[in-house]
Amino acid sequence: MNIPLRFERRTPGTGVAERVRHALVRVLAIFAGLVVGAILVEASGNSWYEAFSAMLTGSVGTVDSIEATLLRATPLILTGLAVSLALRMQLWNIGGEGQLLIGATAAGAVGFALPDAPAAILVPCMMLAACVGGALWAQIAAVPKARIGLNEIIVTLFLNYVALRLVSWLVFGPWKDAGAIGFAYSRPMPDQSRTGSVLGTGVTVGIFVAIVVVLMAGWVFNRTSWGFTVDITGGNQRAAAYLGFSAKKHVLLVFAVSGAIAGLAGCLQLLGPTGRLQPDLASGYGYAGILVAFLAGRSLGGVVVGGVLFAALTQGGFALQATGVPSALATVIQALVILFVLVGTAASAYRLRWVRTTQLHGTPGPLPVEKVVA
Amino acid sequence: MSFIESALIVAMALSAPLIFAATGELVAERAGVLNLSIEGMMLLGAAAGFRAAVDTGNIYVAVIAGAIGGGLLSLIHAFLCISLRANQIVSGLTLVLLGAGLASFVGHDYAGVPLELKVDAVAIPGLSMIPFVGPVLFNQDLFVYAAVPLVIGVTYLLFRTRLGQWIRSSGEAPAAADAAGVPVTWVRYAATLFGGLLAGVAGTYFSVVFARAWTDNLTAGRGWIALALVIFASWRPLMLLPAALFFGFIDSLNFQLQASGVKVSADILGMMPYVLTLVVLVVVWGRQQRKHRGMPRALGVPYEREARA
Repeated sequence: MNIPLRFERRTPGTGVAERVRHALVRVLAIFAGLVVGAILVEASGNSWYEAFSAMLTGSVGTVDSIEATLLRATPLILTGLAVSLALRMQLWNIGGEGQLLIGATAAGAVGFALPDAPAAILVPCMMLAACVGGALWAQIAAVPKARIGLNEIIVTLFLNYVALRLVSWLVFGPWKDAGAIGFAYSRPMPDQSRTGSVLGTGVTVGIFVAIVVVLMAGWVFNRTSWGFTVDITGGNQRAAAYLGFSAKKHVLLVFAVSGAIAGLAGCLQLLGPTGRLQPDLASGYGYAGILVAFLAGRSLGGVVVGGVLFAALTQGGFALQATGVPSALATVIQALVILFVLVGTAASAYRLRWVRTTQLHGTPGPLPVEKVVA
Repeated sequence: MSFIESALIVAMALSAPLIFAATGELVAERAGVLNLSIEGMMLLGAAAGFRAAVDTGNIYVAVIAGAIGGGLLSLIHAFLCISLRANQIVSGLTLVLLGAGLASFVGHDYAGVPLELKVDAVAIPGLSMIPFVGPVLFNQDLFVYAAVPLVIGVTYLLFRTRLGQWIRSSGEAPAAADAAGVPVTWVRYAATLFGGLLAGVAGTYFSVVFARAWTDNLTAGRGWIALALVIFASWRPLMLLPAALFFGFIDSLNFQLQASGVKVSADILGMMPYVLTLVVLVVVWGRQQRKHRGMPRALGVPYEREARA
């Protein structure tokens, strides 16, 4: 029997249709991720309706929860941006978690070194130190990648574990808070370093810093010739070599930028929500940033949207505790969304064609008359 | 019992799951499929295996449950990367998070639940009486013993059988293999599934035999070490044995030094497996010429029959 449907490869398009398809795949993926998440909740013996309304209330239902979501979105936007920028050169920076922690550590060192400096000096110094710290930490992966071609995924990932242990050692050792025996956090940062809220709301300055960084990155990577060079080098290293671009140099530079942005996220955590160095400062933001970057594709605006969305999911996840559903549901939904994006992207590379076969009078076999449906 | 002796005994136990997971990954990579999700597959396997061990009290059921957990996750990877030709890195990394999240679900009501099932060490008569060598090598549980025939068996499979030739050719030159009649898609599916099953067993070993408990994130990054072991071993299964033992030993030092009351920071010790892995990785990778590294040429590259070369 002949099924009158045929898959065929779609010619890669550009422009509006492609963008609409790109967005549509993501919207459907989010929906599909939520549906499978709901099925999972039911399978674990809980009510999906209760779980989802708890998540919704906990993430965007009240003014407090919206503020909490934006607070959570700040590091996510930055770690997502860090991964996304590295991906422009086909570099996989899986080390956002570690770079964030090292950035916070460097900022903390400045905070302890200049306890009496006015905020106008202290805060920029801490941010700068965080950027330098994150950038240098990323170089540990970038140098072997550039020089001997060692896979950067494993190196950046291992450095996360090293950074975590380093911070843990600091807060239980040299930077221990004498007043808090057994608690995993350092002495507090100087009071004047803590960023206040904006216009009496609970939204801290951090989210605005993050958005400014995204805008700056957008300008550098989309509008300058260096950004263009990075794109070319990432797309085709041999072509770039013919044009005289040094791939090695750009590997180091892009990793430095990526690490600096993740490091800045660590500093903002220190200035905003925590006020102390602590091992759970990163609490998965580095890894979730990878998912945010996948979700966004090449779009930097998408990083902001994805960051806020995944922050809402994570924040909602905490509200689940009361309902008896593991808060890991948020992680599961995030991962499912990305998997469905992969499925959708693969599927949208094809289109379904309706092949109508009509038996014409007098002809020996079916003569296909094709009509494009999709 | 000397310090080194007890450290080595724990090292053997800690290297067994590394060998299981790394052997599975090695076979998948030899077939051309890079599966970064070992950590996720191990965690899901650990949670499923532990749950089954508590519920049934039967180690075989636990191992099967763990293998199914890891296997299911690897099938998602296989479907996405082989059938849909999705990016293997994106899929693998995402599945780590999915595996960790699902494991929290599976193990949610089992955290802190005591495990009655105990897998005892089996002393090999005679040999286990040899001083030092006996307790270290010949008084271990069946999983540790199984690691050696597993590695030898996989070596035989890869280099001495028709199926092994299919696996290696699918990873080196899938188009040529396809032209020669090798069912590349099925070989890659099977190799990926094999990797998932073994990672699940490795996770089960970790929760049921070694830790005898379930907590979120139980494997604490050991899945990633298994991934690095494949590179150390230059994609040769026999080389996994010394590599895994080395890391099992470093890992065990942490437990031993803590237990012996030496004043060393647990954090500095806990850092060591990763720092040393990185150092060795840089040295090994830097010294070897590209052709000796043994990395399958089509590793991570989706195979598409219609694609132009």
